[in-house]
Amino acid sequence: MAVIHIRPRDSVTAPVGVPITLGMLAEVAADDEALEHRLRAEPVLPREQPAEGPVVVSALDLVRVIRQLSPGADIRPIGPDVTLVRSEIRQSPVTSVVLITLVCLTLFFGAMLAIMFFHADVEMETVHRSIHRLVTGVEVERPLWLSVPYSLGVGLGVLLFFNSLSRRRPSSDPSPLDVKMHTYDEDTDNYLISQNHPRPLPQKDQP
Amino acid sequence: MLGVPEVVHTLLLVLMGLSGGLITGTGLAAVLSALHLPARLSALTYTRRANRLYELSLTGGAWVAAWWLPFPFYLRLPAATLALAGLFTGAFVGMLASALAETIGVVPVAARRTGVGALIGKVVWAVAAGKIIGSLVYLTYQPFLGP
Repeated sequence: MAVIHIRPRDSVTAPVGVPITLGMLAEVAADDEALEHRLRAEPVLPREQPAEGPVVVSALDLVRVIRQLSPGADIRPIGPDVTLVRSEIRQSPVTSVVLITLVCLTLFFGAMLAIMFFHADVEMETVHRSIHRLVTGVEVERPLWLSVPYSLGVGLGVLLFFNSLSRRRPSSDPSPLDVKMHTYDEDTDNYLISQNHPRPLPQKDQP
Repeated sequence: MLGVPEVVHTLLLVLMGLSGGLITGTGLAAVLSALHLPARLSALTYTRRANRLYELSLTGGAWVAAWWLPFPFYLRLPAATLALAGLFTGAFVGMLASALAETIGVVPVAARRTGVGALIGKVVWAVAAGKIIGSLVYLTYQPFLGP
């Protein structure tokens, strides 16, 4: 008897209109290579509607599909019990550029304001003058030996945090922003899965 | 001071300045990141491929403001250009306040206690309107401005 292992994926993102195949929804492993290829290419979700919301597919439905294609097979699902299918958002290049510019401007001016808020709040100028007096014993109006390296450090600190200084970044650790994005995506996926019941797959007639 | 050569003073100041700045910079980035602010902006606009650019924007803003401390510079632009900076700084503060409220979990608790449930979308509009009115009143009403 043929043994077929399937491991459903957590989430799949595909453009609207592209039919979702079994291979996109789950990793498939079978003894028979031809059968494995046939199973992978099997379209499971047609998705013809223009703007479709997220769809949740149950692993049990995948098992049913395989059972139809390969009756009597021993199907063993491992891993997640549902897969989230999301539609890919297509953005025009103009929209992208406008949005990216807006986000950059907000972050730029926001970071500027945040640092100025902080300096005004803790009276950074006075503190720098006091430190200068503490170290040198001399009172000056502008303690440049202190505040120039300080300003240098602020920018370096942000870069350091986001791990943007290392040249071999692609192979090394991800930036904290990438990690936060992942957390956000996971939370969103979990919410969508909890809000959408698994959709029954369109049934095919027995051959 | 105490007969220590001046070079030592200078070195000490440079070291203190650099490490102090590093802490301030990482602190700023850590707080904004902990509030999911850059991540949220990137996710909501579907522009996560520009993440590097967003990190650089944050760095640039912090850097410009920090250099202003030792070297106050003046651009001498017409006052109307301030509207642009005002709009973006305002948007940033609004997001910061909302992100903070969300991290503490005020909204879900308040929604549960009061049972507004499905109305929560409308409540957000009320909160936004309140913030706008509050900001306008604070920045224009004489008693808040001091003598």
